[in-house]
Amino acid sequence: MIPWAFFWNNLRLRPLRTLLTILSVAAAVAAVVSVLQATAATQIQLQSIHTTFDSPVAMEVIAADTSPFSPDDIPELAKQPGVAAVIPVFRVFTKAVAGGKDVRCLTTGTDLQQYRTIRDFTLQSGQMATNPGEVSLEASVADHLGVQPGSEIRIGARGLPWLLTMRVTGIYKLSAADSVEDTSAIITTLADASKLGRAPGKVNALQIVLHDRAEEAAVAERIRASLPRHLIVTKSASAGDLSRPTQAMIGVGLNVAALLSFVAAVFIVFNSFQMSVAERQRQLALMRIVGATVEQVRGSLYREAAFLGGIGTVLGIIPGMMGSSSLTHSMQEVMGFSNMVPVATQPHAVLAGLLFGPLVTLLSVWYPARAACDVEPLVALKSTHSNRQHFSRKVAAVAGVMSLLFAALMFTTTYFGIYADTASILAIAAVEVGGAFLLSELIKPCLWIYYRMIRCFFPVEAQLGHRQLIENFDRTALTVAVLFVVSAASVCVGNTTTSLTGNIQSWMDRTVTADYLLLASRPTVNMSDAESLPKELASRIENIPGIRMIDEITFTLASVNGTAGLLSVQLFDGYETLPIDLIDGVAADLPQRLRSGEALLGSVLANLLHVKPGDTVSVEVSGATHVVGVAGIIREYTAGGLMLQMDSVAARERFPLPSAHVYGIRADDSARSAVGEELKTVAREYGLIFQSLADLQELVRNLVSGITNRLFLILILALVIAAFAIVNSQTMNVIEQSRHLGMLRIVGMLQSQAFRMFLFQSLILGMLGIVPGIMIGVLMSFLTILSFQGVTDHGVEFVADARLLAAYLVCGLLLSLFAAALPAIRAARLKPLEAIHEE
Amino acid sequence: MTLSMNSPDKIIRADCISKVFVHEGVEIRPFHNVSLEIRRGEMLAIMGPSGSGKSTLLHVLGGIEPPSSGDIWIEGHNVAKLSDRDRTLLRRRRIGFIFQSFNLVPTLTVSENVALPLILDGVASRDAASRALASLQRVGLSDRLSHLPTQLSGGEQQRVAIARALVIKPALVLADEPTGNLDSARGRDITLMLRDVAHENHQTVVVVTHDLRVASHADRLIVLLDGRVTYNGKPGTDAELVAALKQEIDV
Repeated sequence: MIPWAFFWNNLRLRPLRTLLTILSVAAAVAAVVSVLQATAATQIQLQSIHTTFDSPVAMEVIAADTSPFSPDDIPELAKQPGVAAVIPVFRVFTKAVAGGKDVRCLTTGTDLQQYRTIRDFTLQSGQMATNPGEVSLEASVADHLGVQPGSEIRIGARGLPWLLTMRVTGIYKLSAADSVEDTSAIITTLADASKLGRAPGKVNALQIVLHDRAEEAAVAERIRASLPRHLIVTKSASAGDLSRPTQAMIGVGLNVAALLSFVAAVFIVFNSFQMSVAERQRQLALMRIVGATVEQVRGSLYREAAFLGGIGTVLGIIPGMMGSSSLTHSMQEVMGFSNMVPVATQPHAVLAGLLFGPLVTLLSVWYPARAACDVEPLVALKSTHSNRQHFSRKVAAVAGVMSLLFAALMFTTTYFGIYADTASILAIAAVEVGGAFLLSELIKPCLWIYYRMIRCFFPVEAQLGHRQLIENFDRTALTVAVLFVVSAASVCVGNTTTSLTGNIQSWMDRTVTADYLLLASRPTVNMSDAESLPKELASRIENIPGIRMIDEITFTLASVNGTAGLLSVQLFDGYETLPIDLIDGVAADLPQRLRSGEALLGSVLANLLHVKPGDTVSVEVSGATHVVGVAGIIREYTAGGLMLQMDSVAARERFPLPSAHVYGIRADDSARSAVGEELKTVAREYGLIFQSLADLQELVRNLVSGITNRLFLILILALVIAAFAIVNSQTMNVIEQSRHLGMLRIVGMLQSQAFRMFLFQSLILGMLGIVPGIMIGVLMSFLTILSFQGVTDHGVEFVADARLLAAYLVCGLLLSLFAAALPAIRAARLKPLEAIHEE
Repeated sequence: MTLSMNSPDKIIRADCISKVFVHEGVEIRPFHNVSLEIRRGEMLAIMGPSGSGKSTLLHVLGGIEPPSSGDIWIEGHNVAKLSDRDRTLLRRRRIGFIFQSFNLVPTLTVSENVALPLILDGVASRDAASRALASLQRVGLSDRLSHLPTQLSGGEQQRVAIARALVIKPALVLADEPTGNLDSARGRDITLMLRDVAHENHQTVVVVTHDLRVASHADRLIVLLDGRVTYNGKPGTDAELVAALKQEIDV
């Protein structure tokens, strides 16, 4: 066994190299842990939403005109075969007031014991309301009002001439889903809620839970047959279905990010150990000459790798967890979660980091250790270069081609829908790995081009730097590969995100064209739970001078060919340009087709049902079923794209629909601001929400710029980690070229020339890795968006964000220069005489 | 640059120069209070046992590093007072160096190695290449322009190093053990080449050597012992040299 002193001295006497290696492992482990933890946290949030949306309530009995009704009308409902429970609820939009503050929220009155079987919430303090005059508040509502259990609050509802004073008995925490819905915030007794709704003793829905094996359609049919005429059965809790496409898309995005960060981390660690071993080839050769066996030399390197990998892993776990918190926070902002379920540290993320560090470290040292020992010791000792171990370019080319073939196979698999999610992600990663392997074939021609470009400015430095990069081709190729992999991964994630946000922004611009919006309740994820506007409001605002058009928009849940969807109806007739983002269909024919009762389908719904313009679908709303023609396919993000749009007049002729939920108001240009002021007054008068188009656009702009800024920060962080590769490579160049640098300094190379020579090399390395990285990253982004199509059919348009790409290139090249600064200074400060005597 | 009053036929004048290093707390004095003058066109040999300070003296004479004390003028420039940049420019334009281990850049061809000082000085590539060719012709290697150093023998590599030293038409050529890695025949070729440089081109050559045969071709010999000049005169014949050195060492 090689003495421990050798191993220890190697670390002690090369502090910079030791530090760089540890930092590389730590950065890689941190990246893996943070992405896995953030991915897990986001998946848990999504799962939580999904679980809540997919509550055990299979269907609801409501009045056809959504008015309250007496549960006594259907006393036998609970005895129907297949029905496990019937839970009466009264939901009413209310305003809660306490201590001079107020908040608008949904109040649900129910039998709490039964309600707990279908909704998940935890009690933070006090106890849930069970007696008349008591309420339980959701934590954020209680915080906003500044109340505690025991406090009194006053609650009012529209049409109720007075406020009810009630006592707060408990504060509970909702699951993430409810916080996204941002509605069901007060729970009280059925009696009090029905009082608030001006229908004492009545309910406005009976929620039905089925036995496990009950056949939903058959039970619904039996219930429907037993109901009095004014009541209908409607499918409940389809919000889970509506959010599924969005969740699937986010899932693909997160998994792509996780896999790409893993690939980048492997390259970074491998690069580090390759350099670390390569710079000691002479020393290792000497060890063998004096009697160390190949096994002893390799063992010593493995021992060192295990030690450094262990320290790097431990150091990487903590920043990884911190990074994950920042990433999770970003996801929270991106997805609009106002109240995340606290996610504990995920053991699998920490375990993956703990395994990743040592395993990848040992695998990374395996190849250079083997290669170092394959060289005859005398050859290694006599050579002035450590460039004695050569990656086989043939092997790299074969590996590259194999990766691309694998990618093609995975894409084919995705195309045929076999394990589409996993296959598409693997394909994207394979494109990246294949690109990294094949890149070495392009290095020489590209290097020549860049050299010709730069030599006009710094001929000497360019010539010498160029030669050195060619001479140390393996090192150049490896450094370039790391930069390439990180750049490709970053650009893929970055460009995909900006494509998505850009698409959402453009969709908003096309679909929301009213100058002002009036809403009865805050918009939710799927709009299916919205409150109707007062019926008399239309005539009130029609009289405001300067109003050009009032569009009445109504949302309701629908079943389209048996698939849950959201039906949105509005007055298309009033628009010169329809407020839709049409993907497929003839725009000119649409007004006529919509008037005749045809519908526009969201692309996700259309693809799910395999329908196209000209086809028909069967639409069921509140028990009424009609066959509806498909006029066109539109890009829609509301309700995860499971959206159906119809003209208001035509839809109301066919289906029982509640009154409008949103008014979209357009004003004459000259009267726009006056109309806005008047509408604000109306909103205050009726307790409505007023939004101007400018506010909405500003909101979206801020959201998009917030996402973009945070994203760019993450990309720059990734580049900083990648810059380790340049520091590694250039430090290695300086160490190895010390002798020649010394000679160059003696024959007249200035310190500034030596400095510039290394800067030039770094700039070239940056260009060699980052430029193709950006190009392949854009391709991968395109493929990721194609994968989204496979998963969700959102109809997301791919856009190469030139601003993002240019900014990434400039930052990447600047960081490349910055990373070279330390080695370059070291090179410039070398003492010529000491340098020429270095071995 | 600092100019001094210096006799035009003297290329170097050193007044009481000393060099002191501190290595791990221990003070090392390679040479102490050395004064000497070197004429243009002279071939000077410096001899002495290992550790006598001869290589360090050569480096100070060539402006690679400044003396710790004393003044040294090279072509009228006081090296002790020059910045690193000015010393580098002086070396680049006026001084050629030849080392025992050749110190050629393995990644550059023979022609590029020779042209290196010119390229560093911003001479146009074509001009640098033609001057490198002329320099290589002078050392008889014009047929190996595109070879890499590793494809040459030791003697050839040293001739390339000489060509590189001469390509700038230096006033001063400093050679540190130029024949140390060569067999006797090739060592003699190199020595004669250096003597021709001094005598035919009127360029000053200072050679540090252990080899009496090399020293015997010099115009003047300096012997350093424990950092002091103990002999400064004609080298004479080999036998006389050996006797003189023995005597000094014994003393």
